[in-house]
Amino acid sequence: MHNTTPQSDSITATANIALAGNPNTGKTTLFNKLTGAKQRVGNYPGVTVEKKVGQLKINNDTHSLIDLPGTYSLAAESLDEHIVLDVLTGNVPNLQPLDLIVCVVDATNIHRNLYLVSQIADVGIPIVIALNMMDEANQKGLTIDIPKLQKNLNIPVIPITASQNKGIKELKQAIRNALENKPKFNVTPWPQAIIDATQSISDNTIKHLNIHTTPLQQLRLLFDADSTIADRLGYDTTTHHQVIQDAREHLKKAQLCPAVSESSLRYTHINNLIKDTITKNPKPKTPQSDTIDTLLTHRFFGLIIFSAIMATVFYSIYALAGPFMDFIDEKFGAIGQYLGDILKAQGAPVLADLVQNGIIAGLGGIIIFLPQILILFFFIAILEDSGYMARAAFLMDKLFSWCGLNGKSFVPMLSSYACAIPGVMGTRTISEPRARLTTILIAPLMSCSARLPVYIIFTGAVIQPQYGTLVAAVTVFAMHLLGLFIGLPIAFILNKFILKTKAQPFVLEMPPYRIPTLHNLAWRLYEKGKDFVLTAGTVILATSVIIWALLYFPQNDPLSTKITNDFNTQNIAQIQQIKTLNSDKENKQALEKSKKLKTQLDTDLQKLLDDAAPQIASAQTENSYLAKLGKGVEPIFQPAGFDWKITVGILASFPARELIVPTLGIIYAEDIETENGEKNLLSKIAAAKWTTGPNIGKKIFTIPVAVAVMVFFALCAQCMATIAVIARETNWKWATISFTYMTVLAWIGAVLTYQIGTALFY
Amino acid sequence: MKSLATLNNGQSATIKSINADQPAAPRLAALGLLPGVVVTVQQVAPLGDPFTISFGSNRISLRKAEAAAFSI
Repeated sequence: MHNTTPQSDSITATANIALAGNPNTGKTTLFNKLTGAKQRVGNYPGVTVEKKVGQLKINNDTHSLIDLPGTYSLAAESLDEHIVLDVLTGNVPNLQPLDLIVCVVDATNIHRNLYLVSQIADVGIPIVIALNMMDEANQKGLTIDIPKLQKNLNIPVIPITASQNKGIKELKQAIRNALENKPKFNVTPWPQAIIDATQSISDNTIKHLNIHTTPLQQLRLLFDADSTIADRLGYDTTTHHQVIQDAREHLKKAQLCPAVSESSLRYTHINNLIKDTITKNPKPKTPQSDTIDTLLTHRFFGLIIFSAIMATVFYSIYALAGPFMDFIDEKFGAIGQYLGDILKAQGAPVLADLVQNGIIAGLGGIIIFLPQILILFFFIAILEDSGYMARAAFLMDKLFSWCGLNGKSFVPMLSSYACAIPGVMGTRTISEPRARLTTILIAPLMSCSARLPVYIIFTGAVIQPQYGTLVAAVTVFAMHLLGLFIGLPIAFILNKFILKTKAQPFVLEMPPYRIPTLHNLAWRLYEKGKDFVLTAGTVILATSVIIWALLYFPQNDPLSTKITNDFNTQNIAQIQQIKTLNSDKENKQALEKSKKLKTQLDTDLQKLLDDAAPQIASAQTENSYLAKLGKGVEPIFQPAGFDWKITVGILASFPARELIVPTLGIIYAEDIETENGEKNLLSKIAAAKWTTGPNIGKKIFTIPVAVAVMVFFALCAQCMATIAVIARETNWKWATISFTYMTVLAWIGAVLTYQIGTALFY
Repeated sequence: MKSLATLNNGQSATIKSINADQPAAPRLAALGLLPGVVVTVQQVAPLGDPFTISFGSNRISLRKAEAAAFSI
């Protein structure tokens, strides 16, 4: 560092560097090692769904490093590939031109990885190759002649094993040198026909649009029938197609097929470049992945193992999260009580209630979901990092193909079982925009972890006591399948009749099995947890405060007024006496006596009110704005057998499903007499009875009602955060459509469940 | 001419030509599935489709509909 001249420092100080490569080459791991940033790393093609920028420090220089989504080719089809192409062609607002591209190449598959490198080289920007996974190449018995490869490619090739931190220092040094030397890749020598074709595109673009195109733009326009470059340049469809047709005439004359000539020519060139640089030890023992795959993707055992894995995941969420949730519930309850008491003692009852039942309860309502979310993401992370997720997509493809999707929709849908937000964002790997839209629209139907508390409470309160644990577990599992079974036909209808999506091909790389590293797992969990608390958390917290206010005000209720009035009537003599005693201001003894009497009366009244506190709370709730709203909406939900309290729960949980739990906790107040005097929400719900109407005195939560509530929550769109993400990923039109259709679907589902259930069993 | 889709589990063949009209053909060609390449079927999914093939160092799953574009 000290021997560099100030001049070279100023050149390299803020270089803009991009990290590109095939999916699954350890690009994100390398990004983390180079920048120190912690990013999600997965062994599933297409885990990087957005470009991420970090700081790369080499000696005293700080560069900006962009992590591009992994792609196999620049023939941009999916959103991810568009992002890469846009960054490479400088089509991103506020992005400085790139100074260098670090291409991550999988050492076990140099041949295919160089295809993307050769395409990127058309940009004309200096390239450095990080030859990653050298450990796996060694295990496979591959010997790579690095100096020779370097010489043939004409750019630096640095062997690294990013996961073990090997070669990172050397890579940084090579990046530093390359920023000065600007090494250029040995590009594909094109036959005359292609040179003529690109020239024709160049000339026509100048003629029609007065734009000078780069070689990369010309090649992409030539080879990719529907290249986005045309839109970006401003071509209209007719002119674009005419220009491409003219250019492709040159290819036709030379008997080159436009769709595959690029691949053939590039691979011929790559074969020449890597010839005699890679030797394989002559002991082709079956790679480990093959043996594992024979079992895991077996026609019969593969499905059994898949079901067993899914069952384990759901059972773990159900069984393992419970104790943590109870703990969190208890602690937050205690903290709320403690703070509430302090504020009450300070003479601030409204603030005390806000803190205890609004803020702390709201915070608790967020944190309580962390155990489930972390457990689910723990499993998803293991499945992705190990390489199993690609096999699951392979096994499940048939399930999606009939409705016009493919196995690639499986990962976003499975992620949606944790939370629809990462699921919706994960659809960016789906190449066809309409298939992506369909997946976005049905992903929120998958039963996310926020629905779990609803299932647990209602199965726990109603189904378990009557039918036992096994039926309860089956019910919870069935609820998880409901969204999938309804979502797929909806996808079929959307694809076939509304969006008219073309059939989705399925081409997916099966990455080698790898053992997930603890470091990656830990960071992913940390990031997911943080994401959830910050994004969903703020919405939930804000909503809890609003719901609290709607429940708290107006702060008067008929019951406490009645108790106070009755008390005053009964003690009319004493009140009169106090007045008389007070009339003589000079008589200190009388005043003293009046004060004593007053204190006595106040204490008595307070005791009466305290004794009736649960009934008062309930009366207060029933008199609140929220209850008025709930009673107004009640008729809509009557066909589903819901009383106004459930309706209030639905209204209150409009921004986030999980809010139903604390809301029910408040409105099913403690006046409900439970058989063994238990005071928790489960027993309250189990014991709740109709106080009005034709079913007066009967239990509200019969089996059909409880199941109808669960069906409603399984299908509804009660999650503002998801709606916001859908709007961000598509637009507000589709976000509105999604909310509307899901709400209607949920209502129909609940009504059918209740009506059929009642007709059959009651 | 037979297509790649007719191969059974464990069988190998050499790609002879590609029908470029099939939408997924360019994508598979970009992965290196080109004339002259030797392909082996590694696994077939439970309902007969899709299936996993290997060529070179690649392991790719695809549906038979896509594989039909490749003559062997």
